Parts: sequence; C-alpha cells; structure tokens
Amino acid sequence: MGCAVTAAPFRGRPFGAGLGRMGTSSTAAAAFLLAATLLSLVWANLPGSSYEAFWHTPAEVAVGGRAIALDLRHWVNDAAMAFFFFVVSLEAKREFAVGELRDRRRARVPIAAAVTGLVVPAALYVGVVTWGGAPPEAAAAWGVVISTDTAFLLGLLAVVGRGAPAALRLFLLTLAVVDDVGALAVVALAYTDELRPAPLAVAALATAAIVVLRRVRVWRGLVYFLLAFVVWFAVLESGVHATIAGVAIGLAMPVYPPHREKVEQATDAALLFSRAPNPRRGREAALRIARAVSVNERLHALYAPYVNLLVVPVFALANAGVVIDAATLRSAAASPVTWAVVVGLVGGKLLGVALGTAGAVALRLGRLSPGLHARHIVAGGAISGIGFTISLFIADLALEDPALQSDARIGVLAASLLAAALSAVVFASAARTDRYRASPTQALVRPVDPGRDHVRGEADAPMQLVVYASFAFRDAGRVVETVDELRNQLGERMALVFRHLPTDDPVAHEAAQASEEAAAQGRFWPMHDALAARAGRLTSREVRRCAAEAGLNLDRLDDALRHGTHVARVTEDAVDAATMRLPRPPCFFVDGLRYDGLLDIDELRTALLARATDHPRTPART
Amino acid sequence: MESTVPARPRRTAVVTGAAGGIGLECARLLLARGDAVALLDRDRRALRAVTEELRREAGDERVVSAEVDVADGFALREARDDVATRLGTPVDVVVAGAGTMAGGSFADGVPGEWADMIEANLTGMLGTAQTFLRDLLAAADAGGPSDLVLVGAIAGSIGFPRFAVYSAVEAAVGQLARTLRLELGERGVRVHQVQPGVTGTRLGATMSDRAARREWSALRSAVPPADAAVVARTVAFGIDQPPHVTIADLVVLPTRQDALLPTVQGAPAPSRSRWGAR
Repeated sequence: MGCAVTAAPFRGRPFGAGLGRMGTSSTAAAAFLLAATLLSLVWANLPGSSYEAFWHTPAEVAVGGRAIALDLRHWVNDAAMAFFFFVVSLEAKREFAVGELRDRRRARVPIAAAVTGLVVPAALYVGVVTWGGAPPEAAAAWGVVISTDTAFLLGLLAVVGRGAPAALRLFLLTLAVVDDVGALAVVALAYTDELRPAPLAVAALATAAIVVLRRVRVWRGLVYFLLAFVVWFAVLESGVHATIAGVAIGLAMPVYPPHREKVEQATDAALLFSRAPNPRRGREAALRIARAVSVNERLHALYAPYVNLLVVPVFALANAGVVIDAATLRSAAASPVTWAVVVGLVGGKLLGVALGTAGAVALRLGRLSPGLHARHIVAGGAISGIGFTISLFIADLALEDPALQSDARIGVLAASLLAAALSAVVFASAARTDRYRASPTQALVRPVDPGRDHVRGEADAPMQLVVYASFAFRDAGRVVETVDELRNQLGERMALVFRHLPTDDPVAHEAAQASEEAAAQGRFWPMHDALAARAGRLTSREVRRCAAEAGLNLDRLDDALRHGTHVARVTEDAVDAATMRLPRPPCFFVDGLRYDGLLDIDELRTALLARATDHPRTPART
Repeated sequence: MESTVPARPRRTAVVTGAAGGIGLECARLLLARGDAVALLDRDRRALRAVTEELRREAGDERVVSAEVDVADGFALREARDDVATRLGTPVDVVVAGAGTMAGGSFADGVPGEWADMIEANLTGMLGTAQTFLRDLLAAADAGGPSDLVLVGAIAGSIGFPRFAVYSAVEAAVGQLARTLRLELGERGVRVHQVQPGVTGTRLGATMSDRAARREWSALRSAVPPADAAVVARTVAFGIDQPPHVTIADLVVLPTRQDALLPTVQGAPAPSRSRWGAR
C-alpha cells in the first residue's frame, strides 16, 4: 500500500479536473511521497535530535476530564492514517463490488499471486530472523514485508515499465487491491495487543449507526463525522489499531453504479435550475447530482486527493526519517532484522508473485492475458518488492525497541531501493526479449475462439476479418458501411469477428457492455447493427433505444449495466488491444495479421483474398 | 381377406422446415412412397446436405429444394413459382413444419427471441398457407385430395410453465387450424393440425436461456421422446384418407409424458410438474 489510487485503468470514466485529478494521479502521489521521504531523511540526519524530539512531542486533546494523549507521530499514525485506510477500503470495496474483481473467475491468477505474495515474504522474514538469532520480538514484525507500496509501484512502473504490456499494469493493480486487503487484515488481526471488548462493542454500535443513518437517508455530513470520531475513539480504546476504524467505516459505505432514474432526476433538477436560477433550485440540483453517484465514490473523490498528497507524505515525513551514520549502518548490517526485511521484500515478493502465478496457471485456475509472459510476471514481482508506507507503518506498530525499529527502517529503505534497481534491470531485460521476439507484422495475441468471440458467418470460412472497434466514435458509420459491403460481396466466404476497443467516452463503454448483454441474450448482431446505424450519435438513451430495436429485455440490460456484469469481458478485449498497442479504433486483422492499409473496400477485399488462398482454414476447435 | 384399398394417387408436397426434424421425416416418408416433394428451409447448409441425400435415394425429378425463410412473403412467392416450374405437377399437400422454440421465465424473456418465434411459427405458417392456397384450392376443385398440414404442438393446448410465449404461439396455430378447417373445408381443402408432444428433434437447441435449455433437455431424458418419423407417419395417415374425411387433430405424445406434465388443461399437476411438452 502507499497510495489510494483507483485500480481500474480501463474504465474510461472521466474524472474531475484540477486537484481531484492530480490527487488520483499516481505520478504526483509518488513524487510527493519521494520528496517527503527525502526531506525526512535530511531532517533526521541534521545535527541535534530535532527530528525525534519533534515527533515525540506529546499533544493532548482534552474534553472535560477525558483526554486523548498521543505524541505527534502517533497522531499521524493512528489518526491521520485512518483516513488513508478509509480511502483504501473504499477502493477495495468498489473493486470487489463493481470493478475488476467483481468477476472473480477472471481475476483468479492475480488473486493467487497476491496471496502467495503475502505469505512467502512473511515466511522468508521469519526464517531469516530465527536463523539469524534475533531477539524474539523481532519475529513479530513479519507484517513489515507483506505489502507493496502502490504509489511507488505505479510511479516506478510508469518509468521503467513503459515497454511492458498493458496487461501487466492491470495484473499488478488487481494484485495491489488484494494485497491491500491482506495487509488491512493483518493490521487488524495480528497487531492487536490486548482486546478490550467493551469499547469494541461501542465501535461496532457506532458503525451500525452510520449504516442505519445511511439507510434512512440522513444527509448531514456533520452527524457522520461525529459518529466516525466516536468509532475511531472507541477502536483506539479497544486495543485494536485505531486506523481500523477507517476500514470499518469505509466498508460500511455502499457502492453502486449510478441509477439511471437518479441521473435523470439530477438532469431534470439541473434543467429546472437553468430555467429559474435561484439558490433553492441550485441546492436541489447540486444535491441530486451528488446523490446520483454512490456514497463510496463520492467520498473517495473527496478524500483521495488529501490522502495521497497530504496524509501519506506527512506519514513518510514522520516515519521514514532514520539516522544514517556509520554506527547505525554497522548495526543494521549486523542485524538479522534488516536482512530479513530486505530478503523478505525483495526476494519474497518476487518469489511469491512468480510462484503464485505459475501455480495458478499450472492448476488451471486461470490463464495469463495474451501477451503476458513469465518474464513480465517476474518483473512485476520485482517491482512489488517496494514496500514502503505499510512497511514503515507496521514497523512502528510491531517493534518497541528503538534499535530494532531503526534496523527495520533502514531495511525498508534499502529493500525499496534494491527492489527499484532490480526491477529496472528486469524490465529492461524483458523489454529486450520482447523486441527480439516481436514478429515483423503484428499478429493477433488472442486467436479467434468461436466460444468467446462474436462471429458473423461460419467460423471455418476461408477469409477472416477481425475488427477492433467502438460503437461511439465519429467514423463508426463509415466502418460499418465498408464492412457490410464486404460481407455482401464476399458472402459466406468471409467471417467477421468483432472485438471491443472502446474510446474514452463513457457512452462507448456503456454501448460495449450493452452489446455484451445482447450477446448473453443471444442477440449480439442485431444489437451491433442497431448501434452501428446510430454510429457517432450515441447517447445513453439511444443505446437503450437500440437495445429495444434489437429485441433485448431492457430490465436485464439495466441490471447488467448497473452491476457491471460485462465490464471484465470488455476490458479483456481492451487489454488485448493495449497489449498490441493498437491506436484508435477501428483496427483490422486479416487472417490474424494486422491490416495497415486504408479503410477502403477494394483494398480490404484484396487483402482478404490474398490471404485466403494462402491459408485454407481448418475448422476452429471449441 | 383381399385388400380393396384403392390405389393411392401420387401427391406433390411442399414441406417447410424440411432440413430437419418433423419436416425432414415427412419429406423422407413421402418420397419413399413415391410422392414428389419440394423442400423449403432457411438453413442453406443443412438444406443442401439433405437435398443431396434425398436425391440419391429418390432421384432428381421428384426432389426440389429452395432456400426460403417462411417469414419472408416475397421469398415464399418466388419459391412457389420455382416449385411449379421444376416439379411440373400441381401442389396438393402443404406441410408447414418450420418453427423454433425458445423458453425461459417471462420476466427474463428476450423480446427479440419472442419476435423470431412468432415470425417463424405463426407469421411463417400464415404466409405458407396463403401462398400455396390457390394451388390447394385448384387441387380440391379438380376433385382430388388437397391437404394443408399445420405442425403445431401440444404446448398450445396446455399450461407450459416457463415456455409462455411458445405455448401462446402454438395455441394461435391451433386456433388458426380450427378456423381454416371451417373456411377451407367447404371448398374441399382438408386442414390437419399435428400436435406432437416431446419429439426427438433439434427443436429448442438454440434458445438463449441456459436454464430453459437445461430444463428442456432434462425433460427429454426423463421422457423418451416420440420419433419424428412416427409423427411423419401420422401425417401420411391423415393425408391418405378419402377426400371427404379429415383427420382433424393428430396428437402424438410420448407415453410417459402425462406422468410429468398434464396434457389436458386443468388436470391436477403431478408432483414434479417442472417440464413442458414437445
């Protein structure tokens, strides 16, 4: 963990501009984190002990006779970081409910890799610490090595992993969500000192109160804030780490895709406002617009920028400052804890991710996306070795002795640097192998499979045209005309295969998902034709009109869109397209090889006929 | 005792849905008896295969085929002209066997699928009947037998849960048969309705609702289905009767079907009434 970033790179939802956008930009978050880390290191190594003195300053909040007394570092670690955990659990819940992890079947391989990526580092850590003869309490810090810092992961991936297939980014992001969930569980369950049930019950009651208030639609933010504070305080008193309050509240927030009726009501209210702009109507419109989006996503949009650009860098400022001089370095070099952290993070993560992936594929739990090879997974494992935020967090949690803490922190810094360097090397090597193995003409990474693909015509036709297209871009009409004419001319000798390459426009995504639901109802091609007839002029409402024209059950379509049932299938095609680095739609593949020519019917026909005589097609196996 | 059955006249038949199922078996049986048959179906590949096979057995002059979607009135018309030219003899039997079946709960039903069913099973039947009606009337006026065979389903006469639209369409076919019998009977054209129960054909293999598909194949394993060839024999029986006698309704059911689904409207439902007929 380390960055609360949305784990859905291919959703294509346009986010708000300005600070909101910067807040969820992984590069900005990584840059701030890096800057804060460097600042803390400089500060800690200044002469005098101003760093430690500052962060150990006690600060007390007293109301009447009761007081909460913590030092500044723990105000950051126990209070401010609750917001971080809150945002992370909002994201995790969203991904599991409506995002990439909704279709668990497709995500089995990254989930398996994440689980082994949690277990193997911990095992290695415990092994090295016990073998190295460290004091017994050092073994309790196994949680230091389990989690990856998502901010640094994404930031570094953008730099060294530029040549890697797009599918790897999706793989790592899915892995990061499960990794976060594992780390949260560990913090909640493994690092509880003594459990006091009474305050825990109070916390549970307050969380329940929040859920109930949501159900009865209380909208005043202040009430929730007060209740959230009660939950936090109760958890603090109960012995469980106070940040778990953030998790509990995050998980209690409902997540759902916008209901169409609510969006329409919001549009109506906005229209009403535009006719007679007065404060009451303005407020009504603003409220309806806000309420059309789920609470989860609203809260995420509100808090994520502050968490990413403020809370986490301040955390780094408070925790990463370790004195680096000859004495501490010698102690660290001799300490099994430091070595255990380095081995656990750098080696354990790499081994864990690689073994987990290999095991999952070997056990036929799933398949790697086409275009992803072992070398990419190894690179992914290497870059996962950057544990930073959560590693420092748990180091503070698990270790009391300042010497051990210093050793652990140095270990974390060293491991992160080493993992970064190692991943740069591995990615460069993988990119070299990619270039070496690349074929001169780009081939389809995923062969046509009649069981999965939408094929118009006979699957064993001598000529095969695969088109990666979207329903909602300007030239869509011309593409459809050309392809239809080709089909008229070539008849049953040509099979047309359609795959999704949605543009960034949300209507394009909606249309793509709607066409997949049409396929589920056995009417893909009627829906395709209806959408194509309205190409370039699609709106959400038109998509539904097309669905009615195609004879779809509209209630089932609404359900499918609301639950994101087909997001994973559309994403699969989009990821393949990104792996093949396809530019904007449409992109054609004649007989499995990329067609680079003009969108012209004669040229396409020539290309199809040329390849048809070369390769008589064998009937596709299902 | 010597048989005094008069020699059976040679018939000229048009069979829709002839590339498979009941249509194919009717065509086969009629050809084997020496009749001439025009095969109509919309599945080009299957039709081609079936035509070749039947031509090998019966010779080229008696077998004619045309790729026709019965919902397309114009294609039917062209097919009629084509058949008249190629077969030479006037058509006096029409077997309307084209049809599809789709199921699933009504709430989850796909309107496009219903429309396809209505088009193929009902609209197509109307088109078929009307297109060849003049030929049938001419045959009746000439004094010979003239038969319109509408292949429906027992589903049209019973409650068939989770196949609501299919049974509604088949009920429409039944009512059509009833009324046409009156209207055309006085002109000498006999209208037969065949109502098979669960029959061993590929009907229902392409329905989109997976649960309904499973339900249907479970029913077919539980009830040994009637053979399409048997249904064809009942059709032949019907058209063989002297012209002044009509076997109006031919209900062909697997013997075990009643145990699983009541075939009479209003009979008490047996314990495992989860399946439907045909």
